[in-house]
Amino acid sequence: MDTITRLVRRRNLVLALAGSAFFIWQTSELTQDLTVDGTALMSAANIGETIGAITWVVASLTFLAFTFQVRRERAGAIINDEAARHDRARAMAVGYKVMVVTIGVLFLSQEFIDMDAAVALRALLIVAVTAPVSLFLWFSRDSGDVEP
Amino acid sequence: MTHAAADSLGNRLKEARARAGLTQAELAAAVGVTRKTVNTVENCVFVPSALLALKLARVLDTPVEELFFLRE
Repeated sequence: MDTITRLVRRRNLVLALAGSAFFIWQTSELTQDLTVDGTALMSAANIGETIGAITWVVASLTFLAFTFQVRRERAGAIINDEAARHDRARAMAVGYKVMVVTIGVLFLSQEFIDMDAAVALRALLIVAVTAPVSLFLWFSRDSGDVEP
Repeated sequence: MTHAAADSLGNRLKEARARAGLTQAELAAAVGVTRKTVNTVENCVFVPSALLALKLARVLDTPVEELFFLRE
């Protein structure tokens, strides 16, 4: 495997790790906001919050190390080539639509349930961060069909 | 780039690359993109910019209009 392919795979791996960790961390905090103390769900949320937050910090530091590696290899322009930029723009555009739908769902929900603004904002934050990351990983997935 | 644009642009990249004796990774390195980009262009999933199309044509020593064509 050549250096560029290895770097692209590493980028996707770090993004997947950071996105998943952020999702676990913030979803656990959201669960804590919606659950009463002393329940099994609250215990699970506490564990999820700790694991998610630590993993997110580790993923962020790994991403920082990755950016230094890309700079050292002078591969920034190649791994952010026009196809990658296209995938990123598409992920942001679709992610925006997902966010608008989420706002609509939250807006309708507050008609039926008493919702704290902090809960709604946290839900939006989760979608705003994880949707574009997940969509980018999906759009930029490699079929792996290397043709000689 | 829309799906319609990807559908209406054909290419002979794979044949030209085979003639030049290059792998996708070697061609990608020569034009400064990832192997995946070359792969998606070959499979008509991604429409390259004019700049990338010209770079591919130069490396493959093929006129750009021979490498890329409009489908009827």
